[in-house]
Amino acid sequence: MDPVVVAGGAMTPFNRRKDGSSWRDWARNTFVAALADADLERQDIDVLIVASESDFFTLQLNPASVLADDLALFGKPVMRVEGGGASGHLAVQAATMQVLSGQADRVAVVGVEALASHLPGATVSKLYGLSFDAWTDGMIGIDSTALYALSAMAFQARTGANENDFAAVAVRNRDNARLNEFAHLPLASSVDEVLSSPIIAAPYHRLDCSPLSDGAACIILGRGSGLPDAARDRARLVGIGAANDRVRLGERSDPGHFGSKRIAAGRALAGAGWAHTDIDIAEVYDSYSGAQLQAIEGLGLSADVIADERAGRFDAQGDLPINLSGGLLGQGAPVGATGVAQVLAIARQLEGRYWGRTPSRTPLRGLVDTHGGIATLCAVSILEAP
Amino acid sequence: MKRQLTLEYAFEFGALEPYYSAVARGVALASVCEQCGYAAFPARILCPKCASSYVKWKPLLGRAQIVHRTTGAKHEFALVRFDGADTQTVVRLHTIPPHASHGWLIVPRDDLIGLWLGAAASDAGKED
Repeated sequence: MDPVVVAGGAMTPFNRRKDGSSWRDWARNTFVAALADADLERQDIDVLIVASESDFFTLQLNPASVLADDLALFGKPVMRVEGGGASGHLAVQAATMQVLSGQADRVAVVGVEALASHLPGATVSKLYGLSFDAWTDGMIGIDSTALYALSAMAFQARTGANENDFAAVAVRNRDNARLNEFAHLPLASSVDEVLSSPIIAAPYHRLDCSPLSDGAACIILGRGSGLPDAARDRARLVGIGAANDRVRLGERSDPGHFGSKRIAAGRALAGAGWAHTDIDIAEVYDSYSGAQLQAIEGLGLSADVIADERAGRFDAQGDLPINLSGGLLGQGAPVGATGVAQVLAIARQLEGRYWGRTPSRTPLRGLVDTHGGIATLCAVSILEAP
Repeated sequence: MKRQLTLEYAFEFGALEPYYSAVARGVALASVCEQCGYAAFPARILCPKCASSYVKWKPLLGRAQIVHRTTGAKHEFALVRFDGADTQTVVRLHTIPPHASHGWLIVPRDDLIGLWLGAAASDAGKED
């Protein structure tokens, strides 16, 4: 696969926004900032792809039309990509395919979500109960944390992972977030503090759960020849892959295993011509602390994820630093923006210009992992340093 | 500015109507593939194992083994395996003792048609 360049990008802080700004402001501001980072003008953009999970959060159907108009992009192909939690990353992959196919030279991907500021948290939680199988899971009123908890229990039963292992992930990710100026939950904490926080759905405590966040992120993808000098020599997208799993947890042969991540990662690595062992930095989808370990296992990045976690392999100083942004647990998770921000973080790490915590060794090859549902829609992309 | 939207949906379940009618009565109706024999509960129109469209309905006893259980924001849920089904199922628990190993499908205790598991066989639904 010929490389597609991450020409530029920007993100807003991820937080609970109570400053009077709107999701339309966040989207517009990140687009303008991404253009500046890429040294491009508005008229250079050939296609706009918008990622947002749910119109229920903003009471705006067809958000891509509105945002294109807000961004003063007219006469352009405009589309919205939705894949639950994977919406932003799937939008990046759609943009990649636009460039690879020759349909576009420069594509802007804007991911945005107002998860925290328009509706009470309990209402958002209720809506999320409809994002699995609304006709089965949705009919019994199960919430996201309880479903993830059941999957985590199956994972624990098979691997021997315990609550301490999960809590250690939460502690580390939020400590990483302390160096990230855009992070929602930068926090110095301890395993004891995580385990002392209220139980939400055993084995998950409140501090094992990622927050509901507001925010936006934008990246601009292009071919080297169609970019200005400043943007040409930047991180490259060299492999993309996606795969779905059975939507109902009980129909999976192992409800604790995120099997479709292996398929998605395999496709992405095949596109890049690399092996799992070539990856030296990653941003993975840690909607819950245990889900990070499930993701690492599912992606094939570790033969014994619990042993590697306990040995510090995924620390900033380890062999495979993971979620140095803070991940969803620390950086936050405005759903449509999450995957876009993950790609931006890895691109910046590979370029040596990331704003937050960096690994002890300069990475050359990065992996981004995002999913919707409970690893039901999985997207994996591979990037390489310029 | 505040804005409120009230939505009332009227659902039709189409080809899955027999399954939902049964659940509403507390009866477990699985779909069994005539090609490979795979029994799915909740029921499906296409076999999840071989994708065949030749599936038939089969009532299950309604008894389920509890595999994992957890308590959400307000209610208890479990991953269970119903006797006679090849799939596991996520259900809501109703007055199941903490260390119980199994339960029985019961009539839903709210106005939705979901899978609820109760403690006693006498609470289970009966096929007409």
